[in-house]
Amino acid sequence: MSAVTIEGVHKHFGGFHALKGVDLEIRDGEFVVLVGPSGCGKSTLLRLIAGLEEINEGRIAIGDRIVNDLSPRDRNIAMVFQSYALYPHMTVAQNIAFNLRLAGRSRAEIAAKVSAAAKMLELESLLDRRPAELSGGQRQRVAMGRAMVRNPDVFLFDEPLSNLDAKLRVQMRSEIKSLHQAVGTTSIYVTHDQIEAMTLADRVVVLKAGSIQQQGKPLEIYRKPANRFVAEFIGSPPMNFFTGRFLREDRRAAIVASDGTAIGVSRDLAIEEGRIVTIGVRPEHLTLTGDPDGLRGRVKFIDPTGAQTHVTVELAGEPTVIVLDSAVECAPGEILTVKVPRDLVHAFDADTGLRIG
Amino acid sequence: MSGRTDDIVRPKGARQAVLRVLLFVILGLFAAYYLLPLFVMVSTSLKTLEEIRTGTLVSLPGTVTFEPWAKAWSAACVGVKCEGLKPYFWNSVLIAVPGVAISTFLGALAGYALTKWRFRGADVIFGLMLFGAFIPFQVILLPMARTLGLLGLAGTIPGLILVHVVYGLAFTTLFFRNFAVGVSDSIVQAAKIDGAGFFSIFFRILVPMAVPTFGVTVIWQFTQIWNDFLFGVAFTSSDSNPVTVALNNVVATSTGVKEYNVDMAAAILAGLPTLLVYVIAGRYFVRGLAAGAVKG
Repeated sequence: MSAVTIEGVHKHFGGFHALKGVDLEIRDGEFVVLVGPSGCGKSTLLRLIAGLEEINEGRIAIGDRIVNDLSPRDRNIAMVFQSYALYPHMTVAQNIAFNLRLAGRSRAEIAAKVSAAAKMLELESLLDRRPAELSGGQRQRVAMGRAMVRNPDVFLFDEPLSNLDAKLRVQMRSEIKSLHQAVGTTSIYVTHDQIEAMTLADRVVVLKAGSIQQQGKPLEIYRKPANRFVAEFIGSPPMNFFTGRFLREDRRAAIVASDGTAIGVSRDLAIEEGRIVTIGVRPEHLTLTGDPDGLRGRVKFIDPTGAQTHVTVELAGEPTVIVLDSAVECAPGEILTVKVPRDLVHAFDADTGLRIG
Repeated sequence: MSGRTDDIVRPKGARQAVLRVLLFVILGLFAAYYLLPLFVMVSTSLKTLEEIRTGTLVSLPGTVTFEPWAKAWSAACVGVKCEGLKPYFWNSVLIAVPGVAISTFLGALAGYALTKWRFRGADVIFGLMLFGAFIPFQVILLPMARTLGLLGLAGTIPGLILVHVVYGLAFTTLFFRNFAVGVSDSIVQAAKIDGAGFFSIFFRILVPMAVPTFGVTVIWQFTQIWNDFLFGVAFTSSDSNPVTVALNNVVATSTGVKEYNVDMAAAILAGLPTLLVYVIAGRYFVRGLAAGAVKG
């Protein structure tokens, strides 16, 4: 087991600047999830740690060894690929044992390790099958078994669940989590799925366009997004945003949108009078109210999801999503009165998108 | 290829039945057209000279004799020597087997290196190799003769093997490159992380996955090398001639009566090994050609 230190790492692909000076400290035994939209550099960073791409600038250390110039085999890492990358001509047992055989381990040791891994991953009855005869979830487990048997310093996961159907994804997610709790190996996990990131991570690292936007515990990031991008990316359905002028009276403060709607916000926000800001409110924090001070808006769409219903309402000129209990009945065209909770409003600079307060 | 009868479209109505009969008649004609020469060759090779002179070309042999086959194999005159095709047949084996093995192995290695260990200029090198597949045979005769002379390999079997390996590389590399392009990069990367190097990935991962491609390449190269006449006649001397050149000399030797039956037997003997290779490796041929072949 080992810590991973990433210092000032840059990566260029031709003219494309994929990573723009990434610094990241991953503690021994930590489960870190790199999350971001396509092209944000998360997979590139993982591949640099694995040694599958060369670092243009900066340093990566695993434990106290700088690994910049080490080949993948000398880094003592294991990687699970999105496509599973199983060897199609080998049986499950041979796939899992491949690394050990290359390392010249004894037959007895290989057999013992393969059967231990197979037991842990419930692959015992499949050891003689070839990958083509396995289901997606079984292949995924073989890929994990292959990674486990070698006792790596670091586990790397490259979108390992993307090829699975929704139900299996949830199941494998909890299997990965319990595996990490059992083995405790430092793990770095790449995904574009923010729910996967929130559920798995000790620490979430949000990337965009080759730079880290924010890192922290999942709920920290959810509660206190560092900028508008993170606020929008983390959380589902995404946060609602309104832009307007900040006004303060003696006891109250509000944002006045371009259509004249005033949205009440906390007085404590450190914003000077008259400044244009963007505020964000999560759909799950908006509620219906009978209070005449609430914002009134017309229902545009209704998306039932089961336990909850996502209702899109036109508020202050913006289509705004509200998460309601599915017991609440409403229909498109209806007028709803919505309460914005002052203390749960996030404020961002309208130009830079950085968090205020 | 399975015997599932429910896949067969059965004719409905008289019109379709007529069309169906017509289809089989035409297919039968094509098959006869292709098989007739073989039939004539086999039947002629089993006739006595007497019968050939008196009978017709397409008649079956009245008395079957294997005499012409024995003569073609071990007694027919090739130029001035009368030892049959046998020594030249073995020459061809000695040329084709190493020629196929070396060019296939190098092509596999090159195709793998060009796709899975990409380096600066890999595409240019592949383009140039591909260009090699379009160079007409005649163009390289003189430069190759000069090269073999400089290497001291002129007129020898190793010299001809070298020619076939160099010429075949363009094709074998193309076959294996197209196969390797279809192999997911992440399989190679997983193997790298598992601790495999350049050669262990090649031998333990790529080669076992490439069996159908090996089938195609071996058939292609064997057919090319075994059937080659031009390089054989240009780059070997009489003792090292391949069987194709010897066959020509048997047929062209003009002393006394023309022994059609011996000529036919000799021609079939010379062509037999390629047929054999098709039978053994043929099932991989279509499969390997048809796709980027194997999926994981």
